[in-house]
Amino acid sequence: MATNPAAKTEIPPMFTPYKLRGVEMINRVVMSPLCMYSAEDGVVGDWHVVHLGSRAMGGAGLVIAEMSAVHPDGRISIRDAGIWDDKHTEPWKRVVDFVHENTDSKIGIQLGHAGRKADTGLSWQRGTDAQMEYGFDIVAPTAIPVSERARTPRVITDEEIVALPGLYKRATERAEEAGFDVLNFHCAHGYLMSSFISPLSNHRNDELGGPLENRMRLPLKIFAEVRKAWPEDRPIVVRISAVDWEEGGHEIEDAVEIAKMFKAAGADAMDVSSGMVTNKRPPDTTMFQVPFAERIRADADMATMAVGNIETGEQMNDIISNGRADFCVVGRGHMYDPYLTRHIAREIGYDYPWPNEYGRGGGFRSKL
Amino acid sequence: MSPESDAATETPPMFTPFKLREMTLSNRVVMSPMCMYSADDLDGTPTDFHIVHLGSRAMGGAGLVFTEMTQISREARISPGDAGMYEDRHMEAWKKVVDFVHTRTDAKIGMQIGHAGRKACEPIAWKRHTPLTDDEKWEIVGPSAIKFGPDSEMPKEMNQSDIAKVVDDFVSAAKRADQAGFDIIEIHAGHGYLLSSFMSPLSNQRTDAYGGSLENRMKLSLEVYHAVRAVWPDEKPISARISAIDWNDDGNQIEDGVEIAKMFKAAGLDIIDVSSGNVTSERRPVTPGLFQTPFSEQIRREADMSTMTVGNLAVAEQINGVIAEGRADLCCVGKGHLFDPYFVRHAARELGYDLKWPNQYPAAGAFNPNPEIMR
Repeated sequence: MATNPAAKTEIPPMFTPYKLRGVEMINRVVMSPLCMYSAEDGVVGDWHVVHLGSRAMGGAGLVIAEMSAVHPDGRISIRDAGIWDDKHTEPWKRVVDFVHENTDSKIGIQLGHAGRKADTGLSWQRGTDAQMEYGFDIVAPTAIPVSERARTPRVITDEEIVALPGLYKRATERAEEAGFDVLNFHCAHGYLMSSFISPLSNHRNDELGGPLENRMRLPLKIFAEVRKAWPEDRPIVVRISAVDWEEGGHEIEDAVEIAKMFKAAGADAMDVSSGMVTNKRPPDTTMFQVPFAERIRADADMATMAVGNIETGEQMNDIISNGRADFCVVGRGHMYDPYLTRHIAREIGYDYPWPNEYGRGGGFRSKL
Repeated sequence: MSPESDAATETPPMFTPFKLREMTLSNRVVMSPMCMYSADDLDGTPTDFHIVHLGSRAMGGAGLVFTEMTQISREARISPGDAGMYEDRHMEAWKKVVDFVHTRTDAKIGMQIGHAGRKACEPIAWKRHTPLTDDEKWEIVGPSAIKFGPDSEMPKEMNQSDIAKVVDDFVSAAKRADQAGFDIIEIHAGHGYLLSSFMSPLSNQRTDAYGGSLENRMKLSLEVYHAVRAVWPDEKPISARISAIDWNDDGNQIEDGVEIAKMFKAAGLDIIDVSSGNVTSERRPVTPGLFQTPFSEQIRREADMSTMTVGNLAVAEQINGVIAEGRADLCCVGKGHLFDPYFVRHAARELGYDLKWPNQYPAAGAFNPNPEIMR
């Protein structure tokens, strides 16, 4: 994990392969899970085939499908992708098959439950007259709204807590049936798992609240169930908010502890984001979260993915060659350019093979 | 159509709208028809590959995207893996592609229909050195029994009933294209495929009404055009791709290209897509510049009709120049779209033109690419 194959070869660091369990990514570029708000009753369709398919064609070593809800009330919006029902499996399989049959990429899916951030509408309608609420039954560890404007969630019942590992387990089985290579367990950004982990949203007095060990109890219990259900040779990555960007919330030292606990439970890599646990916004500057990935990689001694305003090939090569992270997760860049990885390869003079159909694309003279 | 009217606005010429019949394109960039060899091998049905290929490029901002040359019959294929429009199941599958483009993007989508003629039975592009086996081959046809090149199959000279069938097949394909919802149809009459092979004296040595003079050599193309126009809705335009010159002293010269365009125009054709050559196995010259744009320009001026230009258009500056100077009405970009599905969006960024991003990609506008990447 701490080895750096790039150092021994002529291959640019970002284009070196990297293996997690039995799954080898051909390079270090990952497309971030991005909410598309384009599913119908959780069922993905042509939009997702095009969105994920064109970006896998674009050369990223791993593309991760958006946060997919393990329960309909765990959706951010009515149009979120789902994995709570068997009817979701086949449409996801179509996306996975496309990626496997037409590209060299691996494909992952992010499992999530929006918790107190459920039912907040489509991103492009948020804060406008078009924003609608659909009366999702929103739950949280404690009845605290995510912001003053947000609905107050009800406290999740004991029965619901007991049922949660089973929901994640079934979702995991569906993900396996669909053929996904990697699971991304969403424990960040203030969604249900994250809201249990952060002291800002979890004021419980029972064994699920209080010290970090208690706040981590439910996420770890679910993780264990997911790990058991997921094939031994396929990896699980956990996305966390490394810091809460708010006083009284998590600092990086907490994140290192969280990572160690997940590592001990069998997590293969941490996908290190931050904040969005409350409505406090993170600073959003260039590579602002990379230091967190670096710290966790060093102190918890495990593979990390860095995410957040990573934009250029130079930045990615630096991150990988300096051991700040093992993968670079790029969201915005992939919105802007489905072929980001191919275009960076061209830019840095790395000979990255084109799909047969696009053989002539490699010969395109993009300069006069 | 007049570029002068653009001068008064701030909109870069390539981002001005363009109307043909009732079809309005939001800009002047067209994705060229390009063979993908990725249809279901056995029956020519397009697959998810085509949804991703065409869908992502329509999302990428082109005003119009064209399907690959889509075959009007099974024997009309260039190669295995070519997409077809000769079965209802083809229509159903294409309709999914069209629906995606119409519901998710601002682009229009056209279908190019064609018949490979004596260029059929070619191996697919990335297996060029592995000829088809005898089992894989089928009987190929042409205006005369003259091979396309030394390694090609010998075509059978078409008789009147073969010709009648081809016209019928074009009509059936056009009907299905309308059913599938395509906005424009392009008849492939270039590059040495069947209609082109009738037009070029290099491949057509017939002595009947379909050979001899240019009028005679154009007879089949015009019959196809009229038959297609009769079933294609009035509000939808038709284009034809031609080889303006054959790059051969004994073949068609640009004066012939102009005459061909005039005949199509007189028949009612809305726009002509001006390519060149590939009518024999002697390849056209490979030049880095806009080597075919002069043909478009001359046809646009002398035949007084709308044109598309194609060939080596690589950067926004060239496209703006071509449109502003009235050298063509639309610019077809092929390789640029293979290299970059979001070619047009990235050109807009480069020009500082505000092209709206899809709702799903709100942060794309804030991405700060290394300026070297896209240039």
